[in-house]
Amino acid sequence: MASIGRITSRITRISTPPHLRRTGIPQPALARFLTTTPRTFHSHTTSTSSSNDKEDAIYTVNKDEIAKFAAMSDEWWAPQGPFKMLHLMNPPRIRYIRNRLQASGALSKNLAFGAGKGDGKEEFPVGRFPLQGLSILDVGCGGGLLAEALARLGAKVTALDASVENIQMARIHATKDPLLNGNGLSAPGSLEYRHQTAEQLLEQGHQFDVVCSMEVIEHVENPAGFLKVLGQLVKPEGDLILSTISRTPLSYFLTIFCAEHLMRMVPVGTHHWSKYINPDELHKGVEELSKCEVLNIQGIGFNPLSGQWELTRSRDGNGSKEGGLLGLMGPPLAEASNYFLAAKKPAAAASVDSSSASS
Amino acid sequence: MAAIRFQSTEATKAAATTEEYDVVIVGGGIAGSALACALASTKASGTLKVALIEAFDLSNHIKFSPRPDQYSNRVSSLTPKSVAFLKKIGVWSELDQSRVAACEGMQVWDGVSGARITFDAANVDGVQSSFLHQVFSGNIPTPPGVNNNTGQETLDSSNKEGSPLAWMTENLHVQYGLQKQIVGHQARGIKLDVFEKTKVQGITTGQGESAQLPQGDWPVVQLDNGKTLVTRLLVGADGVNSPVRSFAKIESLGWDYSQFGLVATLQIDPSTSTAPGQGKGIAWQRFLPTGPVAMLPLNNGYASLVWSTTPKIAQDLKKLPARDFCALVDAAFSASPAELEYLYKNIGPDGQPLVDFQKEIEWRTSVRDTEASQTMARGSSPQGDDKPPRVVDVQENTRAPFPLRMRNSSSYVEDRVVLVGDAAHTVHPLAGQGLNQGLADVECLARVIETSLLSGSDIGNIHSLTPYSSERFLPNLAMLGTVDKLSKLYNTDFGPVVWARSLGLTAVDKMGPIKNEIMRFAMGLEEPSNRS
Repeated sequence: MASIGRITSRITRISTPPHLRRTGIPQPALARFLTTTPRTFHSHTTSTSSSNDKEDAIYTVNKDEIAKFAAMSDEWWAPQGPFKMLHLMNPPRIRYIRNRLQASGALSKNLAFGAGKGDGKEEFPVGRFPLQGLSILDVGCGGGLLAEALARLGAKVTALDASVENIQMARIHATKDPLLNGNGLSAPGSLEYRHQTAEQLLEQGHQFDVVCSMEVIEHVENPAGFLKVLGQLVKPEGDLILSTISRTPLSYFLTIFCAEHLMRMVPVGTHHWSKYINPDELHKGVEELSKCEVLNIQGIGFNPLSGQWELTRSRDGNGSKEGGLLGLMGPPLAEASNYFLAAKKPAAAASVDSSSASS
Repeated sequence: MAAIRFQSTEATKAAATTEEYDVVIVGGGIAGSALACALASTKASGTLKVALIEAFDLSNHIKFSPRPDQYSNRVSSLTPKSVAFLKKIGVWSELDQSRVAACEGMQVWDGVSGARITFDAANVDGVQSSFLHQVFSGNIPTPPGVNNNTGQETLDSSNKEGSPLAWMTENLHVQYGLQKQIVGHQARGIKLDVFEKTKVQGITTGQGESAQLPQGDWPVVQLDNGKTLVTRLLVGADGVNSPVRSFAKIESLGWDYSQFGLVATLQIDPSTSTAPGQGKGIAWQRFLPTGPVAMLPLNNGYASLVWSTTPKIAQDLKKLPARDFCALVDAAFSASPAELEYLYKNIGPDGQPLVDFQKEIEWRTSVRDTEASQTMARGSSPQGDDKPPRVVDVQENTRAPFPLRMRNSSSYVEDRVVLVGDAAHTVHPLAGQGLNQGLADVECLARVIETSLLSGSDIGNIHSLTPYSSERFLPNLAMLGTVDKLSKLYNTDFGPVVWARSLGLTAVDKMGPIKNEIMRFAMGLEEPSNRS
């Protein structure tokens, strides 16, 4: 059965040679994302000086460059474009995050701190902005799909990506919606993109109420190290929410054979089956490396009849309250492909080093 | 602001004031106003900034104070599903229930053969159905009179809480309720701006490079009062010739029926009806070869007439003197098509009858009664059949013809544009479904907007709007198709067709479960699969 050894053995694996052949996708955007990410997470000695310089460089990029990124952004954000499946996956992702934060008490804690209560400050209705007052980190944000949605729900979002093109795309797209432009008058949320790695952010001493990393860990070179860093980026009593893909014959069939080769919904080479992580492995990794207590694992699948992604039943037996055909599926079938994992970091006072006691 | 810069490159308004909205609803009819109310009364949607644009006067509706002996000629039947929605948005409680008539039964028969089908509200199976319904259903408001489902199927076929088939009330009355709610919402601080007596002059959106600017792809609506609105989502609730639909380049497909519908408010004498309870709350519909004629019950001895017929006859009916008109309406429900043809031919060019209609009809009625009493029950008026009440008078200035057509849009959604109500689809009035479909659209759209808000999505994004289209397109198409086939089926007096349809109708009349299903479909109780 899966064990911690399996994850740590990945450290010694050499990075996958970059695939430069793509079908119909602008090369710079996607290729860079795939090739830079593994390399960046591979070693801890990546120079950090480049990141801050690059930050400034974004503002001095010339008009043509902006136009180039705008065109890429259009590709990424085109509703029927190559990332359509990702766009369709976003609403259930957000609903999952909201439900988990509700269940773990993060939202009510939020209210207790006076978010939304008028103390002379402007009151933002919690019905519209349920995530107000929470600081959320999105690691591997891509074009900013998840980050924008979280910001619209009132959270203070910091979004990271190792690819400068992605950050550029995301920033350009965010300017198009006045709700995201941080004027702060009409909405409590904020959105900040950083071309940085998670380690760099940790070194700067940041911590967040919620850390999300969706469909990133299966692309990362050093998943063990990644999990450690993510765990440290979560504040005590904060939440860690991950999503990835299981390593099963079904997931190969669905995400690689069907999605990439057969139906071309996703470019060939996007995923590597050998890097997929099973729920049990991830569970162990999160508990022992991230030092967080796993609260929920729940699958998500694409229902071709309804044309939507649907959450399945979770391990603790809670039905997916959204209905839909996949809501009837339970583990282990439910987690045989894409799935979510939600974990909570214990309070600082609790002794976290006795990790063997957990789970 | 970039948006204003973009605006001033347009030819006209130099000093245009641009206001930003989340939702702009073009069209303040019942569908548009209902959407405004629905958004205002929902938790997250209530924080949106909404504009409602209407070419006519809306504030006038609040002054609705009609006399008890007068009814407007535009009357609609509201299904239990629509009423549940109106209750949810707080409109139903604003209505004067004395001006709302319950329709407890329907009698529909073939004008050529006399084959008849009757529907009774008491026989509707009030319990929501099956397991499949459970699996696929979402947030459907429970219609009044329907037992709250405990998850079990019961075989109880009686509608215990006695929900009528439909409620009849004037459109102006519903508008009164809606406008009162809108004013109420505005008073409690909801950002709902009403632009009444204002027309939309133009709608544009950014193309090419200007689409890259902030809000560059947001629709910009220019009003004829000089104001410019830029909006995240544009809703077309602007009727059958929707300018919003043209802006979105959505095709409207369908055909015109060679029929006009004539509406009128009638005063009836209930004591002349042979139906139980003097026909109180019974709707009568007879299919003539020229089109169906329907009498819908109102309170206090009034009824609403909807007569679909050829354009010429409709115009003639409008011109006839009241006395002759009433006689002709009576004949429409009792005389044979041949007799009616004779009467139509005897309407002069100025609308004056060339023969004494009253006498003609009385004579023919007496002949028919004598025949019926002497011979065994024939096809055209068997003894057991109930007769609708006699028409005593028609209210002045309520006779109005309007053209009938069927339309469906090729799509209900586009980038940042969505269509509801008649802008999306138009149907023949014979089944009383048009307004109900519009309200169902609005209820669905409000729910979809709320869901996408809570998912942090941009409500104008096509992926946020697709669930609305998925949920409403097929049911609307099904209803349009069914009603259209019915109208074509009954539009002829060709022997074999008459025989076949009469056989079918009589057969269905005897099959309780099928009738039950038909009623539930028409009442909106049977919901198609509803995706979250």
